[in-house]
Amino acid sequence: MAIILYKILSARAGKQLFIRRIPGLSAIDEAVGRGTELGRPMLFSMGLSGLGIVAIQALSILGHIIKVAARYRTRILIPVADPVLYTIAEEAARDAYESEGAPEAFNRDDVMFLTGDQFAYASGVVGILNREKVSSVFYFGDFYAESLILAENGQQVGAIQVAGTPQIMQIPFFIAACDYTIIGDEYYAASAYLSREPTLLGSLVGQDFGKAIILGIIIIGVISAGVLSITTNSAIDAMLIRFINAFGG
Amino acid sequence: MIGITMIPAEVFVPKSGTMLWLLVAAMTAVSILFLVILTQVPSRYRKPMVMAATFICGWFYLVEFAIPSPRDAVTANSYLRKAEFNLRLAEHSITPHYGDPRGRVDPKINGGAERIKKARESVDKAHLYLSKAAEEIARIRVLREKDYIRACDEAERFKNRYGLTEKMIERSADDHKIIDLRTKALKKRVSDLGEALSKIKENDEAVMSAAAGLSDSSASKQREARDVLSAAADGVALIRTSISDNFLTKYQPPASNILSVIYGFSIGLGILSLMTIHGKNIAKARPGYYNSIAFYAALIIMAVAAFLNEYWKSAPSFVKPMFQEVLFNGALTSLQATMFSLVAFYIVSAAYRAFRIKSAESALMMAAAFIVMLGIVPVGVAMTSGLHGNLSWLRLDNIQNWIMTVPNMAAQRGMAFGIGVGGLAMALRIWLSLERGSYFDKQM
Amino acid sequence: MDFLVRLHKIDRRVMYVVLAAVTTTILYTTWLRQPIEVTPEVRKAYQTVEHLPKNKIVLVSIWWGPGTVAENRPQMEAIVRHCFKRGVPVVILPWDQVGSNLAYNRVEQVAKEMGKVYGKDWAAFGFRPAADQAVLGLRSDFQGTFKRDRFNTPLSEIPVMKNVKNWQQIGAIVETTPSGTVGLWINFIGQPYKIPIIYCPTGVMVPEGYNFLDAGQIKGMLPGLIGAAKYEYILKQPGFATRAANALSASHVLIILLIILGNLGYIAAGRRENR
Repeated sequence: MAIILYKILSARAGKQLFIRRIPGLSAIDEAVGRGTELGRPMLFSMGLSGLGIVAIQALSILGHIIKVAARYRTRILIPVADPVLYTIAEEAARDAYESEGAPEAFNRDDVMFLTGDQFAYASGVVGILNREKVSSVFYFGDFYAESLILAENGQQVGAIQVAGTPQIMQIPFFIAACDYTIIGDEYYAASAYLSREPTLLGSLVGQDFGKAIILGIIIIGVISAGVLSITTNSAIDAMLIRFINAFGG
Repeated sequence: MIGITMIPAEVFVPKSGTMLWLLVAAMTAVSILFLVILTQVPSRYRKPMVMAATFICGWFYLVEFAIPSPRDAVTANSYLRKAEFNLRLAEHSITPHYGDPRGRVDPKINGGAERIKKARESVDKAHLYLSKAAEEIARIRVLREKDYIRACDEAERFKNRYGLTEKMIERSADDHKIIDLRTKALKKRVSDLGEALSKIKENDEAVMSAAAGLSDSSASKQREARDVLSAAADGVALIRTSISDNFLTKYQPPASNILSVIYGFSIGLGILSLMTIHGKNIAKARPGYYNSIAFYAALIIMAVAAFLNEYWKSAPSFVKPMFQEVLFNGALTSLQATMFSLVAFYIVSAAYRAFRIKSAESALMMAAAFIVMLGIVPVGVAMTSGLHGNLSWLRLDNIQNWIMTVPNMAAQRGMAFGIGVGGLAMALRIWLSLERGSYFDKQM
Repeated sequence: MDFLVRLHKIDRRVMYVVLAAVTTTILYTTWLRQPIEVTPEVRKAYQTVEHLPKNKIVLVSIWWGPGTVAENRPQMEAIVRHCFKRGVPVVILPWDQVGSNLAYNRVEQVAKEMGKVYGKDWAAFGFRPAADQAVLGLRSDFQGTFKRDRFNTPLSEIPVMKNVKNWQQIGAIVETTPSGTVGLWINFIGQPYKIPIIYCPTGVMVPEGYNFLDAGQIKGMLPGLIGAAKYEYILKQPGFATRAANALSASHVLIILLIILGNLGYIAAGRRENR
């Protein structure tokens, strides 16, 4: 936590930070462009996310997509599965249109609450995909078994699909059926990548340092466990057991 | 959230009758007051107010996590921690190491005698610390019992002074008819300490029985002794948890329940949105408006059928089966099963389309997929069931098991660490109001 | 060559029909005895149930519904049979509205078959929302959290439940789920109170389960439908899972065949373009 905070503060102080290219996120502009060319609406699904950090990250990405789409007056349909998130998504969408100077482009009916039930939501979104013949689909949020149903239907409609979820088990399905997939913690890097805001970039670099520290602790733990299985010195035994216990081992 | 700690936790116990309505009225008044303050306050102060409220709410959980155990348990906790450490050290000392004959610590080789002696010493120390912890907990328990008796007397005087009837006391959701809220907390503390004491005695007996196994050099006896020592160490860790609840812990469930209530209200908003959208579709006869009619039909039929099923006690005999068998088990269950079974078909078409040998990596992925798919099913097991002995590692089920337990697990753990750290950073940004984006940057 | 190139673009409707035909045929017309190899995680689950104390309940947590009934119900049934065989009391705890009925109906059938009495040997609750709060509450006050069973009978009047006060009367938790919900039990009950958890996920969630197994956070796992078939094999009571394992084998072979054909077509199409 301390490292993340330190990096945020140093980024805000003006330090330049580098992040590598993430193909899936770079493809968002391409996907929005395609929607504009074809004159067909796009769809943004947050899956079954309730209000939490996953959904808030999805809203950040939604905000960016809407800003790009608002420049060309391209419509975005946002079906939501959680009633709390629905109210916030509506607010976020309206603010994004207003910030691009296109408040009249916001259609309240484009943000809709479908249902909280997993497969009822999936069948609702599949219906929208097929009826509206969407040009681009974005999946960002918590997805479960319905991920392949959605992605495969998007494929069949001919839409360009970009997906990102922290649900590790659904990533293989998105990789098989979507054009671009954002894997693992690239999902949490999305808002920093898209906005290039110093606070978010600093947080992202702090995350990487955090991961490096975890890696270091794992390596030390593996070496300790290895030494523990070999050594017969009681003082070393005691020290290593204390160390391993301190980390919940 | 810090504010709720000013209120006794028992206030959040479900109420009925006048108390319930009073609480509802009070909460409504507080909510309206909060909304009025938010709207009347100049806009430049609104965002700092929201930031302060967010910070304080998060601070509650951080403080609850970080706060040390109650003062009266500090000494006992320290003895228990030492006992646990010695038990784990003893367990480790009689665990076979590299160079030991399989399954046992032999006193004659590899410093085995020294390790067994070390294990016995650690067990004796653990026994000593457990005895000290038991004495300390017994001492604290006596003090808390005296506090409890004193509190009961005060409660009795309170009851007599205000002429409270038995019926009024019964409504306080307490079997023992004691109205003083503090006595309930003391009673629980006494009970927790009593349980901790009996658990310490149980673990101590188990530890002493394990000590007998240490002098036996057979593999099975040593394994038994290790299992007992490990279970005893876990048991001691549990005792520490049970006496270490701090004064904020009991507020966690009410804090979580508040979110559930908000969620319940928001469902109404969602349904309103649905009805508005579909109502407009029907009113303007937009293309596909028959889907909206289906929505209304399904909503009304299910709602009416559920209410009739629950509340129409003298319903004709066909009503219950109609709801349960036709609508619920028949329609809803079948529709859900149908939607999920689409996944099986989509997997076929997705796999057919995606698994193409376009590069070395994709070929490797395809090979791994073949092995896992075959190794997991009986036909794959049958294909290589003839391989035994030195060639058994080539069996599909063994290779599949290796893929799942080694590279798959390593990759998953790496991704899980990344996602976990990413989630932590995101949560930190939201708590400290550092998050940026159109929704977070807007003027309130 | 034309034929090979056409393999590159088989109509998906043909694939769906073939899959449906193969699976249905094998499921309903054949009962081949193919060898079932019991893997370590299933054996560990069996050993865990085999060593459970008979004076503590086994909580069978039901997250599944009609969508995953084919995988999760046989898993639940296999473990419930084992518990009944050993005389360990079982309590059904559903978090899904439809799954609640599906689970209860099947356990009732199994109980009748094995001569077990509701209330004495097993009990069931109705659907319960807000699982987080319920799990947190049942640790310290089971009776206060779940006041009545699915028939609205107070717990104090149910012999198998009346002495269940808190976590100390829970012998094990069997988590049957199609999503990643086992973390709830591990965090709130398994790790703090060292209560054994047996994880019964659908096939998609199995790779994640190996992490928990390796870390000792779960004591055993039934990986999908195959896991249920393996458990039935150990119990020597073949049921739906054993039969369906054959259909699963056939569908996997079909998918592999289609992938091979698709690649042949892809290579042939590539060669034709190069010419």
